[in-house]
Parts: sequence; structure tokens; C-alpha cells
Amino acid sequence: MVKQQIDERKLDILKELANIGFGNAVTSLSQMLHEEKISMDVPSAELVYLQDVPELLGGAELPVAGVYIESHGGADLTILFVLSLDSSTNLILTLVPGLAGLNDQMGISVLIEVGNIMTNSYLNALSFMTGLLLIPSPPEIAVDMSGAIISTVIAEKCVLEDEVVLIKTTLKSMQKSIEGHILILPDNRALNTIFTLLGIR
Amino acid sequence: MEKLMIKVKISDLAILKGEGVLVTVGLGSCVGIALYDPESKIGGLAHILLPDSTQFKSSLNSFNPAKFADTAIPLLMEKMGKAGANRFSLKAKIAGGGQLFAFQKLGSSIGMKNVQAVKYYLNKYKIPIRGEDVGGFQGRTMRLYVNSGRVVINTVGGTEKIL
Amino acid sequence: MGKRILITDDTAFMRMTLRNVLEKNGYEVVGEAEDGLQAVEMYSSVNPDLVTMDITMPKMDGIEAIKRIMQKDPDAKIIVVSAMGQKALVIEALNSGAKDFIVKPFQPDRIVEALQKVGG
Repeated sequence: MVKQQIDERKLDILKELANIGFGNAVTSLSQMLHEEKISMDVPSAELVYLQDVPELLGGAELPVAGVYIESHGGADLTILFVLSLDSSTNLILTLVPGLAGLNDQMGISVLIEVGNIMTNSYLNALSFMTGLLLIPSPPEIAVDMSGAIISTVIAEKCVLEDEVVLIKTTLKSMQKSIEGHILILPDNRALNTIFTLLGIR
Repeated sequence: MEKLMIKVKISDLAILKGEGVLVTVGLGSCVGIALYDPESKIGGLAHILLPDSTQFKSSLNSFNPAKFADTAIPLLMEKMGKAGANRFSLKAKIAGGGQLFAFQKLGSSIGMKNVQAVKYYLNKYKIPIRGEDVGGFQGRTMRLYVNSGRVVINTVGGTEKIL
Repeated sequence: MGKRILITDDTAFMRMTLRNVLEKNGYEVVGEAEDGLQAVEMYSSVNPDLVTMDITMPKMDGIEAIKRIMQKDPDAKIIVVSAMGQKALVIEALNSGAKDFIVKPFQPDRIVEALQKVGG
């Protein structure tokens, strides 16, 4: 398969938007974790083969918790916040000590809300930068193989393209041993809208 | 003995003859279709994402037949046929089509549509389904061993299933 | 001064968090609604002095719930507590009758301050 070309400039714009958006999300997470220091990798924005997406987070068989949100309105974006089971447990226990992690309904609720707040922080920033109104769905959660969660999201979203733009970052809290990934899949119209708004053809 | 393992990714398919295993990981709402000819020991595995290519006639830059149930099955048959498989001896085993998220459990999810489409097209091509592990609420890994036609299904934290 | 509060949020964790903050500050949580529809129903049955309202919820979102509650009771004192902080939505919530808009994650002081200002 030969990969399509996409303008580097456009990818740079997406990276910059993501940097600010994810930065906002990380700030929110830090505030929730009692001002814990959280580091964030420089976001990547790349054209990737759809087939490779489920493998991107350390292997398709890895059991993870995935919080999934769709945003509609000015632009359609698919957002997934993914954590390993250990990170999920650590995150839950940091917020509500004494819970049985993911085996606790309240623990699941904690993850959902963290995903919700982080996603909205990202969308709020993106909205501010582009002027678009981005309306998120209520968050959904699945605890399963990473590949299964990602492929299910892709299937429900009916992604027809074989190559997609994927925006991603990894964040870490060293103290609390929490590592998470944020994946964004914008659809093509969303990309065109954003680029047009920012004056890029 | 070194066993050959071929990994089949999402929206992909592959065939193998004689020895070894075809594996696909991460069948959430996707469906894994294993076709097997016991006489020639040729196996094929497809990991389909969507039910029907004709529903999506939009402006596709390229068309990937392995992505859809209606096109993946005949493609798999064709490849296996070229490798020497007897079309009339083919048996199928299928897995996947689960609902991982709560919103999927509320109505007709893509997983259910995928399973329906796969069964429809296997029936259309008169390929009997010898085993299935479909639906449910978990993701699956599927392995087809081509020396025996045995299919092994795994889930996170669950017991192994043999089809 | 009325201190009976109805909490609305689709996440159990957030309802628990809000309850803790409010009870610590002398408020009485008289109901917890999981979506806008429940909030509207409970407003009538429970008759709270104050309401906290999330925006993104299944069945009925917060904006719609605010409008319906204001229709029933133009004096309703509703404060939005939501992760959604986009300008257009904040304006719509306030225009629909909400008295304040707090973006999550929030500091407990901010909520208490907002409730005191609204008069509870």
C-alpha cells in the first residue's frame, strides 16, 4: 500500500492545536489529582494506516480501560482516552482511596468522569482556538483488549478510509504510576473545516 | 518445530496452507471469518469491520475488499481456490460481533449487523458454519490452526473456547 | 435561607464529590438526578432551594432541563457544573436561566461561593 501524502504544514497545525488542547486536558487532570505533576509527550499528528491503529498502544491484546467520546457540531471528532489496568486502578485510588479499582462501579464512574473532564478540556481549548462549537456525547467506557476497543470505535464510526489522521499523546504521572494515552480521530470534513477556518487550503 | 504464525490485522485477510496458525486480535464489533478446506489443509482468515460495501458508495480513495463482509468472503474463497482449495469442501467458523460499550447494547450495534451479514453471505456461498462464538460483550482473539481446522477463541479474563 | 439542594450529574463519582463538598459546607442534598429528565421531575417532587446542573447527559441535556425548570418556576436557582466550557454554551445556559456556570474540575470554594451568591 502506498500512503497518501498530506501537507506537512497541515500536520504541524494539528500538532500545535493538539499541544494546546491536550495541555489543557493535562492541566485539568493535574488539578483533579490534587496538583500532581503530569508530563505530556509532544503530540503526534500523522497519517496512519487504519489497520495499524489498534496496535498503536502497546499491542492489540493488552487489556485496557478506554473512555470514548464523540464530538459533533462544528467538527466531528472521535476521542479515546486509554489507560492500562494498573494505571486505571492507580488513578481511581488517587481520587477515591479504598475502592476496588475497576471492579467497583464507583471506580468505573471515576474513570468515566476523568475521561469526560479531560476530553472537554481538550474540546474547550479547540473550540476557543477555532471558534467552532464542539458538542461532546456522554462518555462511554469499555474494559477490554486495546485492539478490540479501538476496532469497535472505528466500526461504529464507520471509518471508510484506509488511512486516517491520528492525533495522539501520552501522559504520565510519575508519582502515582499513571500513564494514559489520548487518541483523536478527526473525520475528513472536520479537518477541512479546521484548516479552512485557520486559513489553510 | 518452528510454527509459522500470520497475523491478520483489522480490515485484512490472509491464507495459509499445511502448517501454522492464522491469528487475528481485537475482534470487538468486528467479525473474524475462518474458512477451512480439510482436504487440502488450506485455511483463510478475514477480519471484517463493516457488513456491506454497497451501503457505502461514497467517495472512497481506494476500495479495500477485506473490510466488508460481502467482499471479504468471496475474496478469501478466491485466494484459497487459487492455492488449491476445493470450494465445495469449505467450512466456516466465525467469532466476534460483540458490544463493548453501553450505547451499543441499547439498540442495533454494528457488531450485530456484521454477524448478520457474515452469516448471510456464507449462506449465499453455501459454506456451512461449523462453529461460532459471536455476540456478547467482550473482545476476542481468534486463531485458526491450518493442520486441523481448529479455531481457538480467547477473551480477557475468560476461558478459552475451541470451535 | 434555603439550603436544600438537588444535584444533577450523569456520573456517580461527580454526584458523590458534589454531595461531599455541599454537606461539608452545611447544605442538605435532598435529591440526586442522573439526567435532565430526572432533574425536571425531581424539581417538582422534591422542591429544592437550589439546583446544580451538568450539561452533557443522556435522555435530556442540562440546557433543556434548565429551560423546563425555569418554565415551572421562574425563580429557580440553578447553577451549572459542567466540564463543557465553550462560550456559546455558557451563554446559552445563562440565557436559559442559569445563575452561574462552573467549569470542571472545580475548587470546592468556587461552588460554595457561587451558591452563596445565588442566595442559599
